[in-house]
Amino acid sequence: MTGLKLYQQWIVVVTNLLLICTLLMIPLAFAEIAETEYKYPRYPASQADQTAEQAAEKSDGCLSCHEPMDSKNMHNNPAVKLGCVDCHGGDANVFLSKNLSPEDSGYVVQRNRAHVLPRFPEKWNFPSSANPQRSYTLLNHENPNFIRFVNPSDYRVSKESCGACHLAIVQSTKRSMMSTEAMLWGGASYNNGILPFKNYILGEGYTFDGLAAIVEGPKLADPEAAQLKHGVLSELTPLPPWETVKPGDIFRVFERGGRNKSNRFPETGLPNLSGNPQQLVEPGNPDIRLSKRGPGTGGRIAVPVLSIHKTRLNDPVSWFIGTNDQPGDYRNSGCASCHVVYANDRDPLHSGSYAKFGHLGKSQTKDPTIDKTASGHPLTHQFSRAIPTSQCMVCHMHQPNMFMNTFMGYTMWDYESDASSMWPKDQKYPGSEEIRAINERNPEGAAPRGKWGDLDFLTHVSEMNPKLKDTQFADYHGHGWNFRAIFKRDRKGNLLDENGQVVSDDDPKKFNKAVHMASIHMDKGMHCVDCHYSQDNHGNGHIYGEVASAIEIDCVDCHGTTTNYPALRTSGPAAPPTGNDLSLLRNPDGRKRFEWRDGKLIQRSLLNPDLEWTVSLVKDSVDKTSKHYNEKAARAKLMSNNTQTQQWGSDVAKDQLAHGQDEMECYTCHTSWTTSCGGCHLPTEANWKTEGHHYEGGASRVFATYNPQVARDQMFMLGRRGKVNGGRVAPVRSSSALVVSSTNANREKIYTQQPPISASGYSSQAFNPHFPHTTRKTETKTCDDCHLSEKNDNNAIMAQLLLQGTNFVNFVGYHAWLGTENGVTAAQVTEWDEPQAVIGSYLQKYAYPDWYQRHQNNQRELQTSFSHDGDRTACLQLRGEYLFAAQGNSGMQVFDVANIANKGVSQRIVTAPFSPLGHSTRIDSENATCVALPTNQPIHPERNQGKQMREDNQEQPFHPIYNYALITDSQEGLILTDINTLADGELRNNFLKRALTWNENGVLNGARHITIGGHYIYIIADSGLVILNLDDPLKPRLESVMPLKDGRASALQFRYLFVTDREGLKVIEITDKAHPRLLKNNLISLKQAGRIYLARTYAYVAAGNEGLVIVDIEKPEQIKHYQSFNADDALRDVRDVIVATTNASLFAYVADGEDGLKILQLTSPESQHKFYGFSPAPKPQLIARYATKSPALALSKGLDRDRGVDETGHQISVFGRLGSRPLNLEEMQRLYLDKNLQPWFVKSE
Amino acid sequence: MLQNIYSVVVLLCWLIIAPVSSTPLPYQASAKHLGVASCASSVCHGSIRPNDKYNIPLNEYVIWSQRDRHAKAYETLLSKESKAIATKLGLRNAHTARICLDCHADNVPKQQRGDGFQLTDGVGCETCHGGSENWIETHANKDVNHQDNVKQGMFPTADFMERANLCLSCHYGNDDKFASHQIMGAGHPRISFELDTFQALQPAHFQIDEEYKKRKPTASHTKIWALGQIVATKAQLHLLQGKLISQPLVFPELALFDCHACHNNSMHRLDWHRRMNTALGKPGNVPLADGHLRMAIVIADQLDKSDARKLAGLSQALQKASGENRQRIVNISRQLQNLVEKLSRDLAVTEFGYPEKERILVDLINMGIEGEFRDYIGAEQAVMAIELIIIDMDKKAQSREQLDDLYKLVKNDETYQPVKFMDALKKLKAVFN
Repeated sequence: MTGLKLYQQWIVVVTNLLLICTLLMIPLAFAEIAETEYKYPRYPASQADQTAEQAAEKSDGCLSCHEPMDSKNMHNNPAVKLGCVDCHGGDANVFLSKNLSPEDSGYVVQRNRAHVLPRFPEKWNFPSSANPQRSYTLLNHENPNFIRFVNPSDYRVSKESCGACHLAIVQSTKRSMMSTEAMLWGGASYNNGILPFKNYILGEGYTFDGLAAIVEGPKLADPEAAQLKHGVLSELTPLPPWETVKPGDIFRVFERGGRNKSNRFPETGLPNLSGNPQQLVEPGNPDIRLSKRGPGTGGRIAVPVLSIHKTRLNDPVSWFIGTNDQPGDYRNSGCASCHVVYANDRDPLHSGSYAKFGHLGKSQTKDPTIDKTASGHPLTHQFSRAIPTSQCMVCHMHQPNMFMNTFMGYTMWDYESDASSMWPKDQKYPGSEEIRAINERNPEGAAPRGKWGDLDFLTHVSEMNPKLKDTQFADYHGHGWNFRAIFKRDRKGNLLDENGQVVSDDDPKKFNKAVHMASIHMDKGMHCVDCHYSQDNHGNGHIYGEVASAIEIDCVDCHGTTTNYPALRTSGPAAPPTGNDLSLLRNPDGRKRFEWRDGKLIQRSLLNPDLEWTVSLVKDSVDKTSKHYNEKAARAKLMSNNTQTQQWGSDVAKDQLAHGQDEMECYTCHTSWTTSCGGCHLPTEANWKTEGHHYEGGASRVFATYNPQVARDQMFMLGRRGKVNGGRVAPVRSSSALVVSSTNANREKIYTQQPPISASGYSSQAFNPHFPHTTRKTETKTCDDCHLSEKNDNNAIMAQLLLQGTNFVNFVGYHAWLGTENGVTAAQVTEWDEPQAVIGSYLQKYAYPDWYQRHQNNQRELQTSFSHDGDRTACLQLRGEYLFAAQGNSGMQVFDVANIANKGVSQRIVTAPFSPLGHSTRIDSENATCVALPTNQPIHPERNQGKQMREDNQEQPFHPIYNYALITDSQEGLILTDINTLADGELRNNFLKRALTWNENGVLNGARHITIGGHYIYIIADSGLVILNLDDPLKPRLESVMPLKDGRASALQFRYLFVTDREGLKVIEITDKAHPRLLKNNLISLKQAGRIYLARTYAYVAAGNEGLVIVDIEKPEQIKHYQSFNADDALRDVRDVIVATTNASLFAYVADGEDGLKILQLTSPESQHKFYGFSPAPKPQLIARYATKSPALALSKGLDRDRGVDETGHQISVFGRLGSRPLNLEEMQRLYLDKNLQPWFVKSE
Repeated sequence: MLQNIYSVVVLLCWLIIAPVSSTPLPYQASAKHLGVASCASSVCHGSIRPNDKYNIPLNEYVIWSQRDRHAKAYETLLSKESKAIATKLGLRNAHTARICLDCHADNVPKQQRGDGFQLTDGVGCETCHGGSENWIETHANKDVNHQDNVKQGMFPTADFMERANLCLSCHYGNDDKFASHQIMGAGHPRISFELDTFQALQPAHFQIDEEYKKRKPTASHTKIWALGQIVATKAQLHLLQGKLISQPLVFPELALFDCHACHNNSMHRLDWHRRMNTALGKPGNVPLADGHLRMAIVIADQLDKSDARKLAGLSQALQKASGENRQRIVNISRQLQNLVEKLSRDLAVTEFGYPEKERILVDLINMGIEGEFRDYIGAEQAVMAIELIIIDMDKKAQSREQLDDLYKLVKNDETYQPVKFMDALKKLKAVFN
């Protein structure tokens, strides 16, 4: 008792001390910003017209210091009469006394009288006029008169300075997405389940005084029609503070109840640091929940909202100044964001003639008062319409901002290529201060460990290009990132030159010979502004939520169609009814931008007066009489939809064209590559106190780094656009395949690498149709990129194309999950720090050399694992925080694995977080042999219901099979159980029940393995392969039974099912489910064939004592043995195998019976130079092992990251863009089946 | 007779400030031409939609660029036809030849071209409004009015006479530039002009609203027509006295003559004919092109009957002289010119009322019925005049069909049939009776 009393007293003392400290800290926190007392006169708005004399009077004093000056009023037109004070405010009557030098105190007095002074001089580095680094919300606190002084074009004040002449544009720009950021917030809130509105409602905007503002669009006669037809929104409201937004996630830690054990996280809105009311122990409540108070309190907030407030993501938008700290980050706010050019990039293709001024934001001004050695100054005091691409890339280098790196032929670097040049030789152990300093600039978790966290190194990265072996880097580094160049490759990853000839990987000049896949437009010398004119950049005055709806330009506006020459009128979704007339456009030199000359359409460069190019005209390309005739183009464009004859030509009627303009976007074919960010990790850290980047700013705890995991360039996928864009077929990219983690104040990982669920219930492994901007002349998509090739060698390509997934970029995270003879085991296979390298891998060797060495010293034995002992587990699947395991006569058990990485929890894998009386997720059965889920991405079909989803959000319904887990039982057959309860956030209803038990006529006796392909399922049973149709999941229909010789397992890829039996690996064509066709003479003989894993063009077969057998399945009807791998006899009893990608490398995880888990690195920049290919040949190397306590039998497949739809056309993942979706079954089949559902084939030449 | 006192006052002020026909034409002045792009900014004259905030629509550039043929004047020189004409004239290229560029572009000397100047812009802003060097900086100021701009070198296009003179410098010709019979012979189309009609067809890039009326002179269609005719007549008479008629070649400058006198039914065939109502000419005698002069007589009839009679007499004498000798043409032209100058002065202070317009219309119709416009040029001028006067009298609705018929008849000079034209005029007359 005494001990307890003492303890309680001690608590009181500590609490009081903490309170006192806190009280002391409050004024300190406010004192951080030293406010200057200064009376601000309100300067009059600038005048639209005045005499030269009047203007001069407003400049004379200023010019006593600032002469010579580049352009006195920044406008190039003599009709513009503006004095300095008109725009900047300040006092032009103050003249510099003669013979005063800047060092004199008199100079300072005069300067301060003439200038408007900042409220926060330290934040502005006063008196330096260079843009401060990472100023973010400083503008919202600063006095608007000073803002107008340093940047009259800032949106807070631009009405007063620019508005006199440009009012309409000033108003439009504030409603444009470059200011409101509506597309990111809308997408992020919807895809993460925070807000259920696909007509977005959030957007950024400020008043003159820097207060959060509602952004209102012009009043509309019929707002509903405008929204439906044009995607026009009525208004946007500010982003709420993260402290008040409840979580959209259904992670267990957010569930109700729980006492808050010694959590130092203050209760929001409860002025009590110690959280005393929660100290009481409440029996029956799980003690690992965040709070027993309601959602939106005590850390139960929406982390993505917090992240939007605080991570860089695509910050800052044009309401704020660029961060002005790294090459590619230099710009101002407001109109000057674009119209005042900064030095950001030394590549002339990116920066035009500005390239020669470097990439460090240094000035070329004549103004003698400007420090030419300081970064953060514009090149000159001069507005320009000749805005280089490099200026656009200050923002558009990030995925939610359109990711325009593709236009320049770059994508995000993956930490692996040329690792030896990018990682320090000796492992870095950055201290907290260093980490914080680097992450302020660059939100990548890996940057503090890499060399590029050092600004000086970063600045010179592209200079290493001549020496590099794996890739080439761009010269811009917005956010401190590195971007790698994309080169032309074949599907196997060979570098190709412009003639399609292979360039040797050893050729020292290989990157000069191989084609750099920048857009043809950039190759011709075009910049963004050569396609996107005034309206695309300023907006048309309406509020939009999606980038693609707000664009007025379309390909046909300049290139025309097969039947018409271009009208030079914009016709995109945001174009005015008759389009804007492009022939009116004039370049700064006075010449017309477009001109017809001798039947040719000439476009003149906006940046380079000496440059012009001839625009390709589609009509000519299909006209046999034209010298620009291109038979390949004509064939593709004029192909009929008669798949039998495949007849083509100008005589094909418009409504019979296979690739009609109304049906598909031009760039569906005219795309050389698409970026696919196959995943990003956002690990939240409660202990990082960081600044908010929006609204009132202010520092608070919690920060999440931003970590790209898999950035591929060889994935090509199709889907449909929404109504606003005509519902046309377009390329689709993975847009936000997030996984999120959270480390609380006690450094406990309260959730680990969890994919959220979208508001529509679809998985948040999001996709969206987009224009990749990688148009090239030669490197287009061709027939066999979308249709069955005559050689039948594109089965994997088709699976990828249709978004069914290829099991290649799957995500195995921190843990690999194993089924063993004695329960389940999770082995830690990666680092937790970023980059989350697989232990023993190529990446670990470079990013963590010490730890890599330690792993070698441990004989490559992994050190950490957690198990739950129990019955033999031959089949298991992780989904979210739950592990589904088929455990023989114990039935199917769903384990709660939410705390797998939580050091505060002793039993990491539990059958329930509390008594079975309150939670039972076991389905008892006679002998559960396997369990499968229609998707391993977390989903919640129940969210996707009602008018809001069907009509407002234009979402498709889930297929009912997605409600269930499917279990095979060797005695009972097929068992279905509804598992939606696990995704509803309610902890009290987690009791699983059988929904169906089916074994008609004993056809499923001996059922041992199940594969799901949409609403068809493939069960291996005693009778062989049993195909069932579960279109009505509770009324299975037997499609067919194909006898096998003791079948073992199956795996599905598009038209083919791969099966193993006593004889080995076989292939069954399952286009017609009722009549599956076992392919003759297509057998890989194996004695102990077990589980199969298909990753693009290779099948990985667990072959028992033959080790891992890799089979080339590029041609499924002619499969070839590629390699039997046993790692020098290390693989002796291979039972199961899965494949996954971590960063740029491919890994196999092998369940090796008695020997436990083995990890193989299949490709690395070292072992396989072709690692960037669609399907590079694997070069397996054993890199790590983990000896499970009992024999390892099975592995849980990694999270699908390229599967948005199933084989029967039912959507799985959320699609960004209202009304967009993956192709449905009928649309998929149209690409390869005729009316009689028979396959048809194409020849590419 | 006078529509309102206000417009007269404006007109009078205007006339005092801008003396008739004394302003040098834009190409003759020395100011720099800064180029179309200097005007074309979307916040200046390049507004897509007409604005209602300022006293001008600000979409002038857009109208010019999209709908005004002047914007294509240079481009025309790049056509095959132009190339052929140039070749026949022994020129390397039409688009580089001064003789072509003088009218098809703003062909000011190189040193008068600003940084943004583009010859390829054809007949652009400054071709008519004058080089902007000295007025661009001030003209946007709301305290600066049009007269101030004119003082700074803007061409006074608001003045009808000046405007007509400017248009005619290309659309008829002057001492500096003239589409001679030689150019026509090489394939250049025949030139004709009527101020009011052409202004509408251009199309005008200004709106005559209350704002405009406050600042600039306005007049009825008939009045504008009349002014155009008088200025054209003067121009013609001037040229008749100039070197073109007195040039020492075997043939006089044939472009001053009535094309259809020789090229009646086809520009490729010669078939001389005698004008129906005059028996002055002898076979083969080539009448001078006097379309404008004949209109001037009709106009004069409303101003001073005795002048009209004199004009008619001299006009006949001029035609007769074309068959006699050059000096006589010059002499009669000089006399005519004096008369027309007087007419021009009278007209400047006169506005036509309804009765005058009606009389002009009746005169024109009757003249036509009597065969006065048996020649194509006369008929062409008559149709344009008749239409604009009918519009002015607000009678277009009831005579639309007849007017359309008349236009169809003069659509192609090669298929013009005088008899049908007279019939059509009779039908028109019937409408008004």
